[in-house]
Amino acid sequence: MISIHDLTYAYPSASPLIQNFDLHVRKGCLYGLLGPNGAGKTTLISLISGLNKPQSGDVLIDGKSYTANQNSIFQRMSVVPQEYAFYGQMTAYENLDFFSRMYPGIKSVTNAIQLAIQLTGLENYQHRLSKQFSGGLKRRLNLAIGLLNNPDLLILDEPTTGIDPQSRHFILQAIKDLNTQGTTVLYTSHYMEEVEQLCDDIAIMDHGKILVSGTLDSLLHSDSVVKCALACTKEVLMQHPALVNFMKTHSLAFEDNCLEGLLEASSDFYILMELLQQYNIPIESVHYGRQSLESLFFQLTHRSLRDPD
Amino acid sequence: MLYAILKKEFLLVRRDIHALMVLFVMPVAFILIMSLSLQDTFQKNETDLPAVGFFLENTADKETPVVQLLSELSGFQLIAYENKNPEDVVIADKLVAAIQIPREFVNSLSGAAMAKEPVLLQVYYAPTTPESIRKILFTAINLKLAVYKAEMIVNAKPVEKNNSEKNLKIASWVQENELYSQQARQPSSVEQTVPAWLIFSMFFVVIPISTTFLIEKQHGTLQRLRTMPVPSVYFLIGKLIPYLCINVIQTLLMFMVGIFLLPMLGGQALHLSDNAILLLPMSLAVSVAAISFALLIATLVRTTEQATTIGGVSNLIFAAIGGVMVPTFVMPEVMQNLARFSPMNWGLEGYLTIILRQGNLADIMPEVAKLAVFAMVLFSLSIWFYRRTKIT
Repeated sequence: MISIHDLTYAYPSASPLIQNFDLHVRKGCLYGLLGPNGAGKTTLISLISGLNKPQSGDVLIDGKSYTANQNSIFQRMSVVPQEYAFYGQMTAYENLDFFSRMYPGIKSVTNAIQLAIQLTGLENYQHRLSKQFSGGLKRRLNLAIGLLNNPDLLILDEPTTGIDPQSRHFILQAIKDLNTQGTTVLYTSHYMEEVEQLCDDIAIMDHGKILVSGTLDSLLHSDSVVKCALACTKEVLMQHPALVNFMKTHSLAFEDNCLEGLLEASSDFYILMELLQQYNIPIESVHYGRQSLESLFFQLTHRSLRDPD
Repeated sequence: MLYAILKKEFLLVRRDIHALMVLFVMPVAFILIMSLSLQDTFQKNETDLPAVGFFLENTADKETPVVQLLSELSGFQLIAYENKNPEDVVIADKLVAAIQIPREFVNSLSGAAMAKEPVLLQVYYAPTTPESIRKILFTAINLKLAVYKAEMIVNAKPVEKNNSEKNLKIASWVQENELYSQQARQPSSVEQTVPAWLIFSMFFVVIPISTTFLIEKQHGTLQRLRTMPVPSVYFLIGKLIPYLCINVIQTLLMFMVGIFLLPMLGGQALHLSDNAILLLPMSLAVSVAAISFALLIATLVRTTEQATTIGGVSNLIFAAIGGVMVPTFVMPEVMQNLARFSPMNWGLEGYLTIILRQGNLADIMPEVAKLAVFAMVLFSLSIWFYRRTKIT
């Protein structure tokens, strides 16, 4: 659905924020894009959504480029920005009515509005001024506007930031429903658990580059990560040749009293446990299984998602 | 789609009471304060005796009784001219009127010629001479001629008396003429302040237009609209039309303040002539220029602080050099020349042509054309800058 090849983009008088960038999002996929603040996610979204033009490279939406097909792409795509992108002095219904009329392809404006209201649970709030809404309702209205044209591609830039659990539930459910119906969703969020819960594929980017991408299972190494906190120093550990040999063979690292690495076969995990027991090395805690997205993210970026720039 | 954009803009404008208050209350306050404050200053020259040119075709006629009588007109400062065209001198010397006494007029009132239809005495009024002064001058001339008539009748021989009484209808001795010119007298305080502050307030739309544009940019609505199949020009036209309506309402309101409210508060009233309908095309021209300027600022700046500073300061400069704050007639020549570069001055000159000079559509066309070209250039630039706006 989205195909980006060798993309480069720089803001005026600045070094390129995105350089030689490639990304492919399958049709019908729910794709999570993660990255710390300043990684270039919003800039990438502005390029994917045709708001800014890249200095070089291609952005194809469903095989079409913006140069020749801008209007037809816009008809079938929707962008839900981070900001509350609607008019506070207008009611929710007035906002939906206005934005729906920006799409000449919508046959029944009333139906489109009702469907968007229904999907986001705004039935009881549609005639209230949107500036009086809580953060959660504002997020729901923001999403509702994005659903008006029943898009084939929905781009969501942190759609659940700073909202109550009820609104988060409405929004996540709406996204799931849309994806089930065939809408391709490109989703950025600060909330790892949301991404883990929702997305089929993810990409982690930083400094304008994709650090890693693929399906969640492949990235999180299902059932293969070992993390073992030991009550001993590195010197003590290195006195046992069999253990050192095992660590070398399986590329395990020992840092901050923690033995870490990938053990693809569960039998290897049991061998490790036996070795530690054999040499009387006390184990404080042990984890063996799927890696968390948060630890993968930190491992790759050395930053937390919410770190300042 | 355009209808939806317009509906949205009207809705936003209608619900932004504070911006509307500024656009309407500010010029009303300025007009009231400035008109009442400057009334005496503007009237200073009007309290002096109005200057009237006195034109004799032949200096020898000075000694004739009718000329001697007319030269004693009270309430006017008579300035004698010889061998000059009154039509040229009235405008150049800022006279309220000129009295031209043809040789034949003097001759026709002497002796045997009295029986004939007299050649008429000519009075030329400056285009801006108020009706009250015209009436006073006309009455004063007729009074003098009535005195002359009475003396003639008393002194006439019985045979001539009958004919003289038939022919000497005083009013028919005087022919009134209106002079037309692009030059005019100084405006009164109300004639200056109403159009001046109206124009200033029309240009003041730069603040609400640019701030709403920036709010749309900061809140992501602009970003959202640009990912929809909406032509850029629709978005800008959507901003133009509601403010055009606001400017027209401002025009009506400000002129009503000048005509009705100011006299109630003890100020001079603004008088409009039959050509008042021309205020509409003039106001539309000023309005599109002001809105186009506002759109250009809105598409160029990045923050509301920049918008209010650049928009506000530009307006003040346009107003200061354009004759809004300081009337051009009190400016030195250099500044008067500089004023011609201000779009506010084009608007002001257009309004003064209508109010003071009783100009017609052709007379205001140069100003309308200048404003229209200014608007077209700035609107085109706005579209160009809007399309180039980076979304971050």
